[in-house]
Amino acid sequence: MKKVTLIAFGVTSLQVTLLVILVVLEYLSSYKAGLAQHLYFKKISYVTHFYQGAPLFLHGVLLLILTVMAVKGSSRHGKTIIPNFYKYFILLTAFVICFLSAFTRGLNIYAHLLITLQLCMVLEVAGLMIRRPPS
Amino acid sequence: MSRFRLTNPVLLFALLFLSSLPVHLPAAVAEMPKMKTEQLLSLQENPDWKIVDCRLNDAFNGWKLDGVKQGGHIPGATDFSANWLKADGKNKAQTLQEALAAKGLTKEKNIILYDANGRDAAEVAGYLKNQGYSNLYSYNINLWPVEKPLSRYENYQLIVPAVIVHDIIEGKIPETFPAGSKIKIVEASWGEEKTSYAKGHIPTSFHINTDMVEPPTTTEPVMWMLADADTLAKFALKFGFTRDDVVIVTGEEPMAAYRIALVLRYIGVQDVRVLNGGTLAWTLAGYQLEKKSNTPAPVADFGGRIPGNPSVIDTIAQVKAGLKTPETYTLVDNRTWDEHIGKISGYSYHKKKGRIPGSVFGYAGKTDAYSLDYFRNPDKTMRNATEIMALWKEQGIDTSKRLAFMCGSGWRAAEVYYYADVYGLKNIGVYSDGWIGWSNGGNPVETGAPGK
Repeated sequence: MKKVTLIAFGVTSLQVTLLVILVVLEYLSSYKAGLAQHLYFKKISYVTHFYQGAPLFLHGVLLLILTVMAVKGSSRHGKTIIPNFYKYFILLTAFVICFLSAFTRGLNIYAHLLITLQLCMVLEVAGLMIRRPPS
Repeated sequence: MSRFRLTNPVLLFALLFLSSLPVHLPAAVAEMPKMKTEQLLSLQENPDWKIVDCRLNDAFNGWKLDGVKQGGHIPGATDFSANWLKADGKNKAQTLQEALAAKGLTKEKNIILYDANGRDAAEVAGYLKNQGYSNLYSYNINLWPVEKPLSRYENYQLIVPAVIVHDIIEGKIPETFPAGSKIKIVEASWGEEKTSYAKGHIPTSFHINTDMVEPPTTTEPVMWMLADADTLAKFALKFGFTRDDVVIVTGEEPMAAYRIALVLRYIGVQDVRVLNGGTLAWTLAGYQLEKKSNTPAPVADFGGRIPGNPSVIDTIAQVKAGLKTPETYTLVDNRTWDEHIGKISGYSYHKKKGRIPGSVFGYAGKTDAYSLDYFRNPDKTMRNATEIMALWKEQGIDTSKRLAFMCGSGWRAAEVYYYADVYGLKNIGVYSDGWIGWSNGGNPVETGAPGK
């Protein structure tokens, strides 16, 4: 398997694994009081400290930087950026929807979901930057 | 057909063999000498003899079960219910050994095991024989003279045995329940129905999520505190509770049931009882759980102001005032020792450790913030008063003062409050906000082993 393909596969696997873990945690938290309380506590804590006011503005700046890097990284791999950029774009859209949606705000893993989606975006950009463009 | 005629020698031999078998009783009972009432009465005060009630703990507490004429236990008797042997649990063998030790049931003692059905004492005798006990005697409590009163807890009716709940479901009005009363059976547990209720509940009961009466805060600090009066009023109407109701609260985890029962008492429901031992008591009694979902019928009027019984819960101002007058008030800390001395907070969502200055350690569980081993028997029923009072005496808790029970946020304290009420303590309450509410409020805290 080519190194390029291997990196892309590794990044995608890691992203899927992280998201699956969140789904499992949310499912278990509807049965386990201790887990639900812990996740809820973390959710309130993270939302208060990371997703409100000045830290939220910093997140916006970070997303902007990431998006620019994703566009640049994607353009390294071909004339049109779409084939490489679409995954980042899906993650970005998912992040915005999850951040605003009343449904996801009600989930115990809400804050963890936002953090994970951002991590997935970082991984995606890192993958785009690391992978060597086709010669 | 001719093969099975009574004259058939094979059949005759089989019948003869079957008739020679003893009635289905463990061997231990056949070997136990039977005590007469006069003998038992003469040994009541003898320290070399122990009298042990092997029936359901509810019978020991005061309920008239198995057709006995009087409810309660023989004065001076301790308890070791045959039901404890049937309950599964972590470290069951060790728990039973600890129970024997706590009751002073050593191998040197002469032990009189009594029951009313002819089976319970035999089952306990079988267990004790296996543990190396040999001086065992049996007694039938049906022989107890009517003119001699048995001991029973003043408010034994507050915690109900499974058989009584079963009678109620069958349409009967058992002892201590007011004639003509409509009795509601509810199931209390944290979370939605799928968490516990859907796995099986007492028939006809409907589900109450404990978050309904203690919704989590939506800002920091995160805690589950008792809701305000308006929220509790809405809760009462939604679930159809009125002031004149008779309610029995059940649940897989008794602590949740006691928490809801305490809140119902606080809002003003007149008669709130709890199934002793939770759904385990129900299944051990041989009854089936129901899986069908039942819904409560809402009401438009509670029939009184809410809270109708505010003395059940001590506010932080009352606690602070009480701590200034220790000659009349004791704040009993029903958390684990490690929580009391500030080694752990007890909760993953609460980081502050320590205790309220002036509070007195009053026991709870041996493992974590969700256990209450010191107050429960191996089958999750209430432990007897003598042993609890002895533990409290060791800690210098004077039960003639007002006792305000507290824990993390009111669950363990609710169960202890109910037990104290069953025992007959008059001046009791719960500091519902507990350690979490106190420490989040920026109040003074203490750590380390308390000085005597």
